[in-house]
Amino acid sequence: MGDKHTIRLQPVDIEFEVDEDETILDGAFRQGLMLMHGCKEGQCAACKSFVLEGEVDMDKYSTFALPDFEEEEGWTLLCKAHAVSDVDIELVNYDEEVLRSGIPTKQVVATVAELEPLTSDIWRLALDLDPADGFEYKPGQYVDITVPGTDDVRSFSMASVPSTPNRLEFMIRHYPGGKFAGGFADGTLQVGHELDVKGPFGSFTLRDRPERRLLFIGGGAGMAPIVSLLRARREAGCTRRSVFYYGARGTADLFQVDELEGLQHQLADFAFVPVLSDADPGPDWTGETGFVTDVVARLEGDLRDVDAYLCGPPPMVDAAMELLLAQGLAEDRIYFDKFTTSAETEGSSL
Amino acid sequence: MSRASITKAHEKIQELSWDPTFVTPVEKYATDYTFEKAPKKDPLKQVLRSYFPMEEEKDNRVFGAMDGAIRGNMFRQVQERWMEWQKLFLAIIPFPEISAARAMPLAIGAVPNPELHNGLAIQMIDEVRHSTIQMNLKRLYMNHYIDPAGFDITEKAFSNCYAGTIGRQFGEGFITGDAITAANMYLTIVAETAFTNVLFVAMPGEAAANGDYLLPTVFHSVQSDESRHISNGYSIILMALADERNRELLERDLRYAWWNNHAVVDAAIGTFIEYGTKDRRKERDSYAEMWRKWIYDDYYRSYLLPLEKYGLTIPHDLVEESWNRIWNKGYVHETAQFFSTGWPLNFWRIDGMDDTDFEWFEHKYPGWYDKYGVWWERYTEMSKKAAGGAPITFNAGADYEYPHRCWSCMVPCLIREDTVMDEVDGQVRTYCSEGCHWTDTVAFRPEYQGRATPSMGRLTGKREWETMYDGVDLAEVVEDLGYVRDDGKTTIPQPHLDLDPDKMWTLDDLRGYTVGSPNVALNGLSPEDRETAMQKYRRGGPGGRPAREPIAAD
Amino acid sequence: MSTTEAKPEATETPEGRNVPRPVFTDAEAGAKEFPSSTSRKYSYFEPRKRKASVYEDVTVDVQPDNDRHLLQGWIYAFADGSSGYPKEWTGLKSSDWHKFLDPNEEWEQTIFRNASSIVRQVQASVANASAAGSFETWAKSWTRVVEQHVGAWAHAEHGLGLYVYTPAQRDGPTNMINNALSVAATHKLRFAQDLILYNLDLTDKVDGFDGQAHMATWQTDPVWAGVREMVENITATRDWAEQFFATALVFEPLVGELFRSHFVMQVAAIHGDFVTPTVIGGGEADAAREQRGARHLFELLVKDEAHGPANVALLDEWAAKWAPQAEKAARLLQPIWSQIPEKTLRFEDSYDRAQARFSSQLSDLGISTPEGA
Ligand SMILES: Cc1cc2nc3c(=O)[nH]c(=O)nc-3n(C[C@H](O)[C@H](O)[C@H](O)COP(=O)(O)OP(=O)(O)OC[C@H]3O[C@@H](n4cnc5c(N)ncnc54)[C@H](O)[C@@H]3O)c2cc1C
Ligand code: FES
Ligand SMILES: [Fe+2]
Ligand SMILES: [Fe+2]
Repeated sequence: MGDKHTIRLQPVDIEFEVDEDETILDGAFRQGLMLMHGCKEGQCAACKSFVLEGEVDMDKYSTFALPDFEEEEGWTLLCKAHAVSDVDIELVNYDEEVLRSGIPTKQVVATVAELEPLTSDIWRLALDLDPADGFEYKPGQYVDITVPGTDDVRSFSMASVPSTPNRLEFMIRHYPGGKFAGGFADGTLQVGHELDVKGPFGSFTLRDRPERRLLFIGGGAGMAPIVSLLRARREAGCTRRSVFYYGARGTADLFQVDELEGLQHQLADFAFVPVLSDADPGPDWTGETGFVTDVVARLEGDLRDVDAYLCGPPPMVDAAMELLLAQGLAEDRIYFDKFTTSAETEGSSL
Repeated sequence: MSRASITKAHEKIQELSWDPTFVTPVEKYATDYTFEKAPKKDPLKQVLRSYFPMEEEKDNRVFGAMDGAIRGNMFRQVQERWMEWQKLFLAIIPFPEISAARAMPLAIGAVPNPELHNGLAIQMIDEVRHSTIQMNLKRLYMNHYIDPAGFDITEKAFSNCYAGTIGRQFGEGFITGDAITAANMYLTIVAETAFTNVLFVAMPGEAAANGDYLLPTVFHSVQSDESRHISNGYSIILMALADERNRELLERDLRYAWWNNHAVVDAAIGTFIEYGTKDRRKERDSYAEMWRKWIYDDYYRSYLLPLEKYGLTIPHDLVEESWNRIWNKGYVHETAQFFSTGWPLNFWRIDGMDDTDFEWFEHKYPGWYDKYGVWWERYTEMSKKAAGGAPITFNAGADYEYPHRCWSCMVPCLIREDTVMDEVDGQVRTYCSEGCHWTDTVAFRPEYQGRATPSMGRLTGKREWETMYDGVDLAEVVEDLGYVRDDGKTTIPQPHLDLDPDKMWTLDDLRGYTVGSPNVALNGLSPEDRETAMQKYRRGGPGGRPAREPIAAD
Repeated sequence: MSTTEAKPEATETPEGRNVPRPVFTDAEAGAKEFPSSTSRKYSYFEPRKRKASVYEDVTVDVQPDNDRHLLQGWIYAFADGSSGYPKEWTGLKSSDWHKFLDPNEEWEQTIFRNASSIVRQVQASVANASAAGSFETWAKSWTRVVEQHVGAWAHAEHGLGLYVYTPAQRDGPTNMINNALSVAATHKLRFAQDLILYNLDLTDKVDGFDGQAHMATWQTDPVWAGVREMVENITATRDWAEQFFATALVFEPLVGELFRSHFVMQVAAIHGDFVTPTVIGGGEADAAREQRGARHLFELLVKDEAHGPANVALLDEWAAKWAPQAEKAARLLQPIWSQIPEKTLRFEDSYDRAQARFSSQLSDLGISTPEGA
């Protein structure tokens, strides 16, 4: 065995460790990363990539696949390259979806198993899946649900974790008259109904960077994917220092509080900070008040060592972004899902 | 061009496409696959502005190497054993290359994604390059290698030799039939990504070991274009997988394409590498070892298997059976032996195997000598033309039963126990394996698993080569094929490498033996006799030995 | 690599290295005399001249044919039973399609050499002009012409390259025909990219140059509707020879040359633009090569002993079908002539020249020029 080095793949932002004795391509395979390749003999150029930083040693390869001038410019063949330092690599030939989630999207039919209000306007929806479909996802991802009787789809993030298979759980804001969630209250959607579900999508998944602190900021139904991430961390026994700021209007809008407070004991070094925006949250409230972003600004000092995960209504996400950038956090350390409503463009961005 | 500007340029090029409003595009090449418009990117961002100079540079190096090889008298050290097989290999391969170019519009027509169309069009240009650069390499061999006979009739021989027909599937299969079956599944996903990309890596290595460094130069320059093709194919299969309705078609096509590629490419490349080399160092990997590493581990395990979770049904059974055929059933050895048995019908010379070869084979494939060694000793013996001595093809002393031919892959049914006989389309046909039987009777039909497949191709043509010359004298056949040297009597094919005119076989030496079609004979039998004959045939082998009389009470 | 008479000791390698050793085999041409030892030319076809050119050697018969040496026939068919390269894929007939050899003799090396030299030339002209500050002197109205109309032209080339010539090269009955068509596709694709990347360069270099304007111009400006309609119609044509005819012998002279040679190449210089003609010129030269090939092919067909008259009749039909479309496309372009400040050129003059070349090419082939065109 040789020395170990870290490979960082751009622009997909994936990190993994390789041994000097193995090629970078083999190292990636060992971690289940499907990088584009062909001959694996340094001849077809399918694995050609660009070394942004760091040093590699090359085994014998064809100079037709990698002419000398390209090598000098910084190109390499991953099937023949061994890392001799930490290396940043820019991939040129990859399928984003495959690499990112590693999970193919599927179209399945799910059955409504539970539907109950959590607060006056947030509902819990649970769906049962057919085990034969083998639906998979990663914590933090979302699915598209077709509004029954239409071709419209709405995106919702899972609050559940993949270890509870065949059961998806959501936290959904109910807009009266909303095409999808409108049906919760008036009985249009009921337990036992079937829904078309397609997914998973999205890259609001946890990046493995043990040395960095985690900062979660959520608002409204934006709790859902963060709960999923936290639950998954609890299962994995993760010890990264982390804090979750959650914004709601009043005490009546807070939900899932028991579980989150419990997590403070179950997860090493985790704090849950609910923040209420109501001018007068009532006498029982001893927690933080104001806009969630202001509270973050006040309580958090230097933000340069965190990885931030933001989720919720677009204005909240935008405000939080602005704050984090102003505090010196690099843009590529911020991950977010904006819960755009469907009148706007759908999908998450990164 | 810097990478940043290539990305920008590539984005700009996307502005060229538009949705027609005056016409609906004609479906020139039908497919049963369905695709939704999907914004799949062309990941390679190839721009012609940088592509042409890059390829020109590759060309210059190839042509420079050609000059160098001639000036450096390369042919004083090339092995004739190897070069002779190049007469077959290079007769075949420019056709698959040009067919790949021709296949591109099939893919373009089927896939509604203008960004991929650009990548596919560049592949077309690549493939035109490959075809002509290989024709030119062959021309150089013809001009500078000691024995030009066989190179000089190359495209004609490709068109009329049984071995050319086998090779022709690997080419016709890209351009005919269901557009996606042909141009994506057969061509790119299996032929290019697995078999050519990987095994053509082996060919240059072997060529160099046999004193020829031009083939490596040309093939490396060709293989270095392959990344584009692999990534085109990959984008398309991901798009196909996104639509549930394609699932059975993908399953069908992967089975067909895998099995046919195995049957054809392993037969040919396996023979070239194992029987065409003089490099008998024990350290050299055998074809089976290369196959295990490149096809099984690299392609099957690290390319195909990950697609399984995208809903692709992978023919695990066929992958395992291919390996079984190569490792346990002697597929490559049986094929090489067949080529050599039929030497008068070839357009190249075949060198016999000697003790050094025997030792190597026994080392790499334990038990080889018992199966094939004696036959190769006879081959050497019978390669000497004694007065009246029959060529091994027709020599009873060879203890070899001329095989039936597989209707699907057109390689003979060499693994005798696997032979399938069936009456299909009103004709009794034989198949080398269940996989090939399925290809003809199930896959290439207008219906598959109860669904209509109106675009699927058909197997056609006079698929049993022997039918063409049933009942014709061997010398006449060779003459009709045009495999005769410029003295009008010495044949191009020879069962040895000796160029002493007195030792070379002539038409006269081949007269008096009648070529017969096993298929015609089989169809002429009564059903009972046919069954008996087939049972006996299946008991034959290995090494082509006819079955001994059945032991009583079957 | 060391060559002759290498003694085995000389190739002994250091401890542990195991490599194949060069062996003296003397397998060189001329080392021995025996039957066919001097048979050093491809003998299965008749070369055009005494000695076959490299082009012929690397092209002829690579695509088999039942009429040539193919013994067992095509082994795969389409669902309708047609196989290989069906001769029925065009309505024209030939006694021997293999008579066609590309007068441009394009193969591997020529394709890449020509294309590389054009892209280099284009890039050098842009760089030089930019260094000399030439773009700064462009008049606004000329800038508009280049951004909109020269930009729109890129789409026409792209459409013909990707959806006419690329599919057509699957369809011809011989390798020599298909090779010529794929070279044509290559030319068009490159030319379209040259133009659009030139547009990108200008977006960076010319003040106020709108790099997006070409799309709307092509897709919605009525001036271009005729050109787009004709290009789209050619893409939707099943007969490859008709596609080749409509493109090379109708569209190119009546529309292509009208716009490229008789407009852009004539007026650019007066507007202080020396670069656009270089870019256009590369494509213009290629288009001329395609026309040479087309003339040669159709000449063989109209002179075909058995099928000549029938071919002429069909070509007459095609001319009657496509010429009015080209004429309409050409006339719709007319307003462009009045969008330039230096009005040195009348549309009618340009059009007459285009028309004259179109008719003379057809009449050389014995094809009637349609009424009114
Ligand atoms: C990646 C992603 C993940 C998402 N995950 C979740 C999730 O986990 N949970 C969740 O609840 N949502 C989530 N959303 C938003 C969700 O997809 C829907 O758009 C939203 O819930 C509205 O759906 P609807 O059909 O009920 O209402 P629609 O019929 O779409 O009606 C909503 C429309 O009404 C307007 N509207 C009505 N009432 C209100 C109101 N009170 N306040 C503001 N606007 C109003 C909205 O502006 C919008 O135009 C996510 C969105 C994205 C893009
Ligand atoms: S995979 Fe072919 S060069 Fe690396
Ligand atoms: Fe190729
Ligand atoms: Fe290829």
